[in-house]
Amino acid sequence: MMADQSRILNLSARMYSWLLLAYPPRFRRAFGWEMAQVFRDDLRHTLQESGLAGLVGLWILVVFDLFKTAMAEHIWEVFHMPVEKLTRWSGLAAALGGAALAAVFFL
Amino acid sequence: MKATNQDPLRDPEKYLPLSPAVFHILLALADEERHGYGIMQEVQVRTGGRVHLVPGTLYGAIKRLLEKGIIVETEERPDPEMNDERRRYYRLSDFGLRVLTAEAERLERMVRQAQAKQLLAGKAHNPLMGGR
Repeated sequence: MMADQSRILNLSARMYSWLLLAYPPRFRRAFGWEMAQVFRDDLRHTLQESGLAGLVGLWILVVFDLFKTAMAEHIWEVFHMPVEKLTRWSGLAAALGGAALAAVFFL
Repeated sequence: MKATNQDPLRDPEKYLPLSPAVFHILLALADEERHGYGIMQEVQVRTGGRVHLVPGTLYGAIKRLLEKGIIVETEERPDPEMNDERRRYYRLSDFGLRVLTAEAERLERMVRQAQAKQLLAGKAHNPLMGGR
């Protein structure tokens, strides 16, 4: 049982580390390690207290939170982007958008 | 001139209202410095499990609170033997304490208004009725 729990814990922690890639690199560099550590601690505690049902509940909460906050961090990054970088990216976005429109129009 | 995080004249009211998550994080740091998981545990215990902070919300809030100078990272480790060196500890700044106090006062004013409307059974105090 303990070996099973340890395996579940390690697998979940590894999956969460992958999911952290959803955050902008700057945010990940600043807090990624701590977030993974906090998730692991929370997971261990939840598994001990509530077993697998608790674990599933925690995962639902964490995944929902991850999508919401990763999107918020990306939006924050765009609004706080240096002007040169913003110009470059908006130019690229406009070009891609134009190409997509042209493709829809001609095809 | 742009206000800095150290500006003693900064108005805490500008940062209100706080989101429930931020309020709980600041409340957790009101009595002692804590690392991320310490904050999460304190909030969970204090609210009887009704509030469960998860890493994305917790660190998103910590990031913004650090940027605004409401919390600061501490150099000292409260118990170096018991803790991982890489864990960062956070504490309220002086300005953060003013923001938290202002928010608590704002909430108190709102509760008083709810009491005046007799929404809280047994604790109602209606000044229009001469009080009870």
